[in-house]
Amino acid sequence: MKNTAETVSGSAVKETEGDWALSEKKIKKKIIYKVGRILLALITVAAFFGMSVSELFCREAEREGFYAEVTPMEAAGPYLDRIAQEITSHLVELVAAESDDTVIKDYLVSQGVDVQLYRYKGVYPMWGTNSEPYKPKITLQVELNYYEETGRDIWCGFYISPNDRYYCVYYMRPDCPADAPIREASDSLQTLHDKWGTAMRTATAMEIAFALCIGLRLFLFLKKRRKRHEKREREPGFLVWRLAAPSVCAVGIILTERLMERGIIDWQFFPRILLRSTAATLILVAVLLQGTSVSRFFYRVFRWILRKAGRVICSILRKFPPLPSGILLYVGGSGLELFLCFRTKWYWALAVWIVEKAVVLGAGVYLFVCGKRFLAAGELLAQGELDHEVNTAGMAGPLRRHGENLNSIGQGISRAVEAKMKSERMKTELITNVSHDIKTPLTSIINYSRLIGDQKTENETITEYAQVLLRQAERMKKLLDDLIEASKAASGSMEVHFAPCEVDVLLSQAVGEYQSRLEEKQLELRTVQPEETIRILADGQLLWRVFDNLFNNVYKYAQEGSRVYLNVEKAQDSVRIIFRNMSKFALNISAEELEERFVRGDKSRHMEGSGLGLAITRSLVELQNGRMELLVDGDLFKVTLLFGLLEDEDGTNADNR
Amino acid sequence: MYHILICDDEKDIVNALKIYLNDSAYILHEAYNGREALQIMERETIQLVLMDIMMPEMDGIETMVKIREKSNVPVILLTAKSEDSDKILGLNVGADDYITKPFHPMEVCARVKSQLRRYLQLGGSNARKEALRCGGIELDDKEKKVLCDGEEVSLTRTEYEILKLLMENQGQVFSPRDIYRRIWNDSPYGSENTVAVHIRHLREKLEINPAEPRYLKVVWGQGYKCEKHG
Repeated sequence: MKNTAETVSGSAVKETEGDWALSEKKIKKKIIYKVGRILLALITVAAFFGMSVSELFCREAEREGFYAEVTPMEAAGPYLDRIAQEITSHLVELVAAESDDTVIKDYLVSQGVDVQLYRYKGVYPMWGTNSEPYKPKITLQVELNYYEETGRDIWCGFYISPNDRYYCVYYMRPDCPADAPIREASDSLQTLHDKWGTAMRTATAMEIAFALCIGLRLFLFLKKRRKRHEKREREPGFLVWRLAAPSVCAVGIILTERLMERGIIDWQFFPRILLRSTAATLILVAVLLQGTSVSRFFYRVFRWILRKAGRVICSILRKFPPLPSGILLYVGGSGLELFLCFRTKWYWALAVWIVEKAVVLGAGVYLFVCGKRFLAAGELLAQGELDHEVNTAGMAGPLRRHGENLNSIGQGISRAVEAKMKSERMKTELITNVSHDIKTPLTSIINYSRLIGDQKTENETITEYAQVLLRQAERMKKLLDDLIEASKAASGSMEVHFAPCEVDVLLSQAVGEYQSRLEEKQLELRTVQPEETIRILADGQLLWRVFDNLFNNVYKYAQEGSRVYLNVEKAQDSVRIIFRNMSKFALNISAEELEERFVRGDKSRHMEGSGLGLAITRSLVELQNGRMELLVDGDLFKVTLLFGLLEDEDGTNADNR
Repeated sequence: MYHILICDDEKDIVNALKIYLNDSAYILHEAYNGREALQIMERETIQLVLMDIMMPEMDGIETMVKIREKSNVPVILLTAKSEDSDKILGLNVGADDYITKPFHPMEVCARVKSQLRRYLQLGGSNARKEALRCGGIELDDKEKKVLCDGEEVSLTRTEYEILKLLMENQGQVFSPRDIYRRIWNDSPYGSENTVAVHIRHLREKLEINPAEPRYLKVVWGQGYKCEKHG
C-alpha cells in the first residue's frame, strides 16, 4: 500500500519535474533568443561603424597623398625626377598663358613624353577633395599611383584647371631606374598605400559582416513572421511596411552622400562620419526598441503614411483609363531609359538596363504564370470540372481577386449541380420506394379481384365489375413499372454495361419477338438495312428495351393493315435506325408534346399505357450516348435513333461476305 | 402430399396464395416472418418454401441463408423488388426461383409445380445419362423427346434442332446467322428473323414466363444461349 503510494507520488514528482524542466528549457531558449537578438543588433551596428570609420580613413589616406591640393611644384617636387619637373613647370607656364591645346601637345611631344591630352568642358565630376572646381586661379592636381606589380613604375598625372578647362597629363616612365629619387618617392607612397589598403580591406570585411548580419536578421524576421502568420496574428501587408522603413532609410543615406560628393551639400560642415553615426544610432535604437510600444507606435505611423500614400497613388491611377495610362507609363519609362543611356556614363545606363530588364522579365513571367493558371482553370470550368481551384498563392491585387472570383464561380456552380443531383436522386428514390409500397396492396387487389371474377355466380354484373377492377389494377401496375423506369433512366441512376452490339442481330431478335403480334394486327413490316454488319457500342439489354418500347408503340398505335417501315442507314461514322408507321389516331399534336410525359397518341386516353414510353425511350437512348428524333407529319409517325458507329477493323469486316 | 410453407408479412397475400394453391396434393403451412418460418421448418418436413423478401424481424434473404445451412429444399422468393440486382442477390444466396409481385396465379402454380417436380422426382434419379439436361429441361436424342419439368413437350423439328444445338453447347452464344447456317445448312441472307421467331416459340413452350426466361436466354445484339445450370 505504502509502496504504491510512493510510486504514485514519485511519478507525480517526476511529471512536475518534467514540466518544470520543460518550462526551464523554454525559458532558456527564450533568453538565448533575446540575448542573441541583442548581440546580433550590436554586431550589426559595430560592423556599420567599422565600415564607416575605415572608409573614412581610406578617404583620408587618399586625401593625404593621392589627391593633394598643392601647387604643382610642391606636389611634384619630392616625387618627380628632373625631366618631369622641367616639363611640369613649363606646362604650368603654358597653361597660365592660356595657350592653345595644340601648343601644349606639341611641346609635350617634342619632349618625348607619351602624352594623352584630354579637354573637358563644364564640370568634371571629380571624386576627391576638390571642393572648388571653378577657382579662377590655376590649380594643378598631381596624381601619383604606385603600382605594386611593377614596383618601379610611376605614373604622373596632372589636372590643370584654368577656368572651365581641365587638362590631364600622364607622364609615363616604364624604364625608370631603380635608384633614388623615385625609390624615396615610392617608399613614401608605399607607406601611404599600405595604410590605404588596410583601411580598404577592413572596410570590405566590415561591409560583408554588415550584409551577413542584415541577412540573418531578415531570415529570423521572416521565420518569426511565418509563425505569426500561421497563427493569423498579423495581416499580410506586414512584411511590406516593415521592410520599407529600413530600405527608405538606406536610400536616404545613399542619396545624401551622393549629393555631398557632387558638392551640392557642403562636405566640410556635414561630415560623413556624423551622418553615418546618426544612421547607425537610429538603427541600434530601432533594434533595441523592437517589440516595444514605442516601436509599434512608430511602425503604425509609418504604416499609416505608407497606406495613405498608396491609396492616393491608387486613386490617381484609377482615374486614368487603363489603355492611355499604360501607354503613358510605357512611353515615360522608355524616355527615362533613353535619357539615362545618352546622358550618363555607360555603366549607369547598363545598370538601369539590367534592372529594367530584370523587372520586365519578372513582371512578364509573373503575368504569364498567373494567366496560365487562369486559362487552365477556365478551361477546366468550361469542361465541367468544378472542383478545380485556382492556386492564388503568390498572386496580389486584382489578379488575386480574379482568381478568387473564378474559384467562387466554380464553387457556386458545383453547389448548384450537387443540389440538383441530390434532388434528382431523392426524387428517384422517393418514386421507387413509394412504388414498392404501393405494389404490395396492389398485389392483393389484383389477386382478390381475380378470385372474385373466378367465383361461379349467377350475377354476371359481379363478374363484369371484378374484371374492370382487375383491368384497372393491372394498368396501375404497368404505370408503376414505367414510372420507376422513367425516373431511373432520367436521373441516370441506371447502370449501363457497354458492349459491342450488332444492329442487324438485335433488329432480327426484336422483330422475332414481335412478329406474331404484328401479324395479329395485319401490320406488314418492311425492313431495309445494309448488307454489312453494323456494330455500335451500347448496352444490349437497354437497347432491347428501346426497341421493345418502339415496337410496342407500333403495335398499339399503328393503323391496322398498314405498312411499317424499319430502315437502317449507315453514315460515315454513325448509324440511323428509323421507325415509320401510320398512326391509327389523328396526331394533332407536336412531336415535343407527344414525348412529354403522360401525353399519349390518343388524347381520349382510352388505350392501355402510361404515356411514358417515349420519354423512357429517349432517356434510355441518351444513356447509351445516342440521340432520338421524333417527327410527326400528318399521320406519319417517325422515330430516328442515332448512334455512333463502333470502329473496329475485325468487327466490321469479319462477317462481311 | 407435399408440405408447402408460405411466408409473407401480408396476411392477404398469404391467403390469396393459399387459395391459388388449393389442391388436395398440397398441405399448406403459413408464417408471417422469417423467425416463424424457421420454427415451422424445425417442426415439419417441408418440401417447398414460398417466401417474401421484405419482412419484419427477419427478412427473406437472412432466412434463406439460415435455411440453406440445413436443407436444400426449393425456395421461391416473392418480391416487390423488380430490380435485377435484388434478383441476382436472391439467386446467389440460394433461392431456386423468384416471382415478382404482383403475380399471376397461373405463374405461381406453374413455378411451384415445376420446383416440386424437379426436387422430388428428378432430383433423386438422374439415371439417363445420354440425355442432355439444363435445369428442368431434358432432351433425349435417342427417343427425340423433350421433357420440361418431367412433362413431355411437343416441338417441331426445327425447334428441336435449335434446342439441341443450344443445349449441346451450354453457355455459348450463337448468333442468328450461326444458328441458321447450322440448322438449315444454307446461307441466311435475309432470313435471320426466322430464327428469332422459332426461338420465341421455343421460349413460349419451355419457359413459364417467356419475357423472363430462365433457360433460353436472349443476349441482345449478339445472339442466343442456353444458360448453364449446375
